Amino acid sequence: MSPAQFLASLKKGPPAGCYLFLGPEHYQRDRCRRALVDAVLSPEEVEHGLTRHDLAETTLAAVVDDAASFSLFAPKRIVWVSSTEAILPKGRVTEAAAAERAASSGIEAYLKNPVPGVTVVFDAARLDLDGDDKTKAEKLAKLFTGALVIEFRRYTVEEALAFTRDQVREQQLKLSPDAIELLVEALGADVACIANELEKLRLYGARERAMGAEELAAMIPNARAANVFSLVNALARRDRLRSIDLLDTLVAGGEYLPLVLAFLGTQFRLALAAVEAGVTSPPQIQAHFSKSGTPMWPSRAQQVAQTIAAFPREKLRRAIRLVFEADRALRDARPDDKIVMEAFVWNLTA
Amino acid sequence: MEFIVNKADLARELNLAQGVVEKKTTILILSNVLLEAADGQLTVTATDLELGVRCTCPARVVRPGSGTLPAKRFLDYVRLLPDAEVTVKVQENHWANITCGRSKTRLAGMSRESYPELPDMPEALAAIPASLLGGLIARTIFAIAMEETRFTINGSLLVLKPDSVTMVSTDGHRLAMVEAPAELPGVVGLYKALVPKKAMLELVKMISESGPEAKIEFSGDDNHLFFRLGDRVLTGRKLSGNFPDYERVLPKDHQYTLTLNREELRGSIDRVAQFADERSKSIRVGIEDNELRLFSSLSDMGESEEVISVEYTGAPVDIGFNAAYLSDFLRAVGGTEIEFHFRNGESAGELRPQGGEGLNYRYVVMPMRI
Repeated sequence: MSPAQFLASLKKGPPAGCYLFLGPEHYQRDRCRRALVDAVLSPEEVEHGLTRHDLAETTLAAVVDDAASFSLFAPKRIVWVSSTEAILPKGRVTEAAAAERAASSGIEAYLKNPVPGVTVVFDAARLDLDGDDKTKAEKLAKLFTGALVIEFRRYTVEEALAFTRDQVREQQLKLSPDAIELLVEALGADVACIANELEKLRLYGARERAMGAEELAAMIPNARAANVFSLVNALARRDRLRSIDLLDTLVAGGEYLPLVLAFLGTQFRLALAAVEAGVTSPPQIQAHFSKSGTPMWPSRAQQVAQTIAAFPREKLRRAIRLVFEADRALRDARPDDKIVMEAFVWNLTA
Repeated sequence: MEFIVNKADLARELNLAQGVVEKKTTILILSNVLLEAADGQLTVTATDLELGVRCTCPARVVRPGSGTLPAKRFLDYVRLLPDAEVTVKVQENHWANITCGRSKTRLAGMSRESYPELPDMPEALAAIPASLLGGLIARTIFAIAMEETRFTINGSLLVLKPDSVTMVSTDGHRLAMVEAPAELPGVVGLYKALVPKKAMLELVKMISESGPEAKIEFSGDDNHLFFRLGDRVLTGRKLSGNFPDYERVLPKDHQYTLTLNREELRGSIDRVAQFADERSKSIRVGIEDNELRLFSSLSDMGESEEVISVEYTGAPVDIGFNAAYLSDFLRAVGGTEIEFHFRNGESAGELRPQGGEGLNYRYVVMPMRI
């Protein structure tokens, strides 16, 4: 079930006895959580009607007991259980081991006969629905057979852009298209962060006057929050100005620069391997690496595709050499890591 | 600072302070006790910032002053000393020389400058008989919520009226309330405060060492609660937030009432609970044709059943209960007979001591689905 379907179902009738919120996306999750609380509890009932558990700190059995015990103060309850992925056994997840653990907790029996008026939400926000986590997510969903599964998928860059444009239009903000793109890129297409930044912009006065990318970056430091991935993206596009700018932010934020190089090294090696295998489009790249035992997210495949587009084969080889030299230079006695990295960015984007 | 103190006195006060001292060492100074020697007495202070205790014992003060020493190591060492006088000399560099007979020890301390100040106790609001307060705590403390996130029920509600004192605890599934008559002329109208569980445990410790006639002076300011028993003052940070409206959930009437022998019921529950699920301790209570039947089963272990004769001719009732919830009450309550009031398998049940032990003691417990 998608978040939109979940929200629609709440309008149609009472909530189910048990839900599994699966996936890492926070914006829709927060909307769904608030809608559920509003649907079940009045503001006065929230204090005693909303119980929180964390499966990283308590057991599933304790949660089931709590849900199965009638409450003195709240005829209707929501039991919110975070870190649900913690019940999966560590290491290799065998279905039998996971099922045995779930059975001993009494969750199966509870799901067959939930307490009326109690809605239990198992929240697994740390599991992705693709890539390495996909199998774990599927196994977790199997353990909660009987619970309605709501999937919270990450937004793709295009979806995040569309979301941001819609929000800008709805909130009547005067943001230029390049400002919108900057916001989406700088915040890694995380719509929860984007929604926060838009709220701040609205309060600052973006309804009254137009704002471009430069002003946005200058006015809202959080919107410039750079990370290793944005630097990788900028370098992959051979965007020297943006790369130097991002490097500056990373250094100011105390980022560990050898880690940045490690990411870049992997990126260029993957790109070179993809070129040598003759694959260039993101789906081809994802399929190629998954087949050879290196599972890859679509967004990562997209990054690799961007790198291939910006760096021909010879330049990729040179880039790997530059990464190696910069890595060695960082380990030498030197006046400043930033100088080494700036030289690296300069040479790479030449 | 230098003082000479009787070993037993010192060990007793340090032992009391040890219960309050911060166990986690996130703030190092809080692992220490503050020692202050002046005017013929030694004052020992310990705090974890939530709770504080200050106690005194007689001492021969050679040189007045103060210093802090690691609470656990100091207590562990003092306990091992022979029953004799102990000389403690804290030097300028915060090291302490401890001498007792032919034993000499040096212990590294810390400056008292960084030790937090405890608030002074305001004028006492009420003097509550220590044994009475101890009894109220014993009858309610087990029902306090364990989850730290539910901070409004992480302690007990203390309600003072000019003619009574009431204590209430709940974890959301059960509620223990006990009200006792008491003459509290200093209380005007109604005084309510949320007492943290840790403070209650320390109070029990203090009360256990007091005489039968001892009284606890109680007062509170905006943020703290104060309990003074003799030379000892316990200071606790008030829990904030609103305790649930407990009077609303106290059943007004009951459809059925059974009278049961406390020890018989307790024994039966304990035996049946051996075959209940280890974590939920859920047992089934069936009442039908003058019999109360307790039953539990574990598919791979076995099952257990106990039957108690009762006077009951109503409709058959089957209720699931957490056995631990019932046992907790049966251990805390006195008297021979208890009353069990109930309606059906989805309504609150209530247990009370028959005759009331001179107290209005009510224990409301919600059933569980099994």
